Amino acid sequence: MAPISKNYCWADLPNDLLEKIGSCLQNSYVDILRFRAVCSSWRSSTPLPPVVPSLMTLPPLVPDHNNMSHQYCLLKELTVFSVQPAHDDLSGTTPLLLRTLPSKSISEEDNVTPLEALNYPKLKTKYLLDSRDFRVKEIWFDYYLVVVDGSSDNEIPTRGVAVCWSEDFDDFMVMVATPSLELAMWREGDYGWTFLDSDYKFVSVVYFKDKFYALDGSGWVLAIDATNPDSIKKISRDRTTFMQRESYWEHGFVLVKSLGHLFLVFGEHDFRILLILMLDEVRGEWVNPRDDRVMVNGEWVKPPRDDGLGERLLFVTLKSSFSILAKDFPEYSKDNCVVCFHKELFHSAYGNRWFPSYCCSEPPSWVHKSLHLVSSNEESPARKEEYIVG
Amino acid sequence: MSITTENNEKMITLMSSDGEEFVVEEAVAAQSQTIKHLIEDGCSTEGSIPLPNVTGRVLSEVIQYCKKHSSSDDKEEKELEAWDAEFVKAADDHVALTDLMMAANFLDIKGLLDLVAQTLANMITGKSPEEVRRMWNIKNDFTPEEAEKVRKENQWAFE
Repeated sequence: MAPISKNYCWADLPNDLLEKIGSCLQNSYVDILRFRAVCSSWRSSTPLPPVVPSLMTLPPLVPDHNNMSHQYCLLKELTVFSVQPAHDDLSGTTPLLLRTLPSKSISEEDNVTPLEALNYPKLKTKYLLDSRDFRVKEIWFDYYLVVVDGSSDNEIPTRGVAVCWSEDFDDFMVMVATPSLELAMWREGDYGWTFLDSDYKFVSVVYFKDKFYALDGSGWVLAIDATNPDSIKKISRDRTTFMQRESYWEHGFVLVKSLGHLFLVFGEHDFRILLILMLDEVRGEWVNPRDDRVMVNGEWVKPPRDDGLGERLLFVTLKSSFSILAKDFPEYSKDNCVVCFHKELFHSAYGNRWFPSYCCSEPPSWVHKSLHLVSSNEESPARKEEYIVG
Repeated sequence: MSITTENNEKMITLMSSDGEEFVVEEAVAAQSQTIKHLIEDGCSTEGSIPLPNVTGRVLSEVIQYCKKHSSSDDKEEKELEAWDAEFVKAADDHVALTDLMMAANFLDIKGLLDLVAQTLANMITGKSPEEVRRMWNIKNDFTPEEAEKVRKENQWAFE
C-alpha cells in the first residue's frame, strides 16, 4: 500500500471504501443515482438500487373467498424531491417540488422516472429534465395505498394510509381510510384486514409518535395505540369549530404531520376560510396554534410552543400531505405561518382568515429555460460532455 | 519499549510514516484492530510500532479520536456523538477526511471509518454530479456508452 500522503484524492479511494460511502446513501435512491453518475470508479462501486414503485401487495379490502374479483391492495412509496438549478446565480430561487407518481409504474423502455410538479400545479406541459443538472434533495417520504382490480388493472385510491414499521421488522402495521371511508388495519402475517366497528366516516389517517390518528369527516379524531390497537382514545372536536356543525366533510379535511407536531387542516365555504388546529398531546385536545394564551388549571398562560406554524410550510394534497421548512422556499415565506395548497383539494384557497396560502401560477423562468418539453417531437439535445476514453 | 505510567497503564509508541513518534496508552492504541493484533503478536515489545501508511498529521487526529472513545463509556453516547460531529467538522475539508478514511481503514477502527464515510456521504448529498466532480477534482471518465446509460438513468419526466 502506498503511504498515505497529503492530497489523497477521493477518486483514488479503493473500491471497498467507495462502496462504504455509497452504502451511507442507501436511504436515498436519488443520491445513489447521482453518486453513480460522477465517474466510472464510483459507478462500479455501488449498484443501482431497485426502483420500487410498489412496496408490497396486501390483501383485498373486501374479503374475496372465491377469488372472483381478483382484487388486491398495493402499498406504494411517495417521495417528494426538491429540485433546484446547480448554477450559483439561480440557487436562491424557489425550488421545484416534484413527487413520484404512484399511479404509474416506471416504464422500462423509456427509462424515465415519472413525476408530478407540486408547487406549480398549473404547468400544462410535460417536461423532461436531466436530474444531474440540478441539486436534488429528498424532502419527504410517505406511503400511498391503492385498491387494484386485478382483471382490469384499475387502481382506486384510498383516502389515506399510515404505516408503522418498527425497526426489528417484527411489527409492520398498515392502517387505511378506505374508499368507502371505513378504517381498516392490517398487521404483518394477517390474512385479511380488520375493520374498526364504528359509525365514523374516516377521511384521513396518519401515524404519529407510536399512535395512529384517524380523522372522521365531522371532526372527531381517534388515537389508536400501535402496540395495543384495542386502546382507542377519542380526541374531542374543537369546540369553537365543530360544535355548531353536524355536517360531514369528505374533502378539505386532513391530518398533517410536521416537525414534531400534528396538525388538522380544515377548509370550508369553498375553502375560502381555513382553520388549522394543532394537537396538544398532553391534554389530548386540539388547540389553535395562533392562540397566544391557553387556560391551564383555571389560569391563562402562554403556551410553550412556536408562534403559529413556526417555520413550517404545510402542503396539503389528496395523496399525501407534508411540511417543509419555509426558509427553503423564499417565495412563500412572506409570513411566519404559511400553507400552500394543491389544486386537487383547494381550488380557491387564498385570502383566508387566519393563514395565508399560496397557489402558484407561473413557475420560475429557469423551468422553461433549462428543461425541454417532451411533447415536442424534437430529439432531446445532446448534453455537452467531454469523454475521456481510456 | 514498554513504559508504564503511574496508574500502571502500559504505554505504546506509534511511529508515523514521516518519523513522528506518539506515546499512547495501550488501551487507546488498541481501538485500532490492526495495532491490537500487532501488540498481541508481540510486535510492540521491541521499540515502537511503525505505521508506514499514516502521516503524523493524520495519526495525531486518529489518536485524538481513539483517546476520546476509549475514555467514554456507553452512558455518554449523546456527548460522544456531539464530540464526533465536532471532530469531523474540524477536519472539514474533504482531502483531510479522505486521508482520515484511508487511515481508519488501514488501522481498522470501525467507528472512525463509519463516521468519516457518513460525513463524506453527507457532503455529496443534494449536489449535482458536476459539482461533486469540481469539488473533489474528479475526472468524468465515462465512455460514451456508459455516459448514455448514466443519462438515461437520470432522466426525469414531470408535468
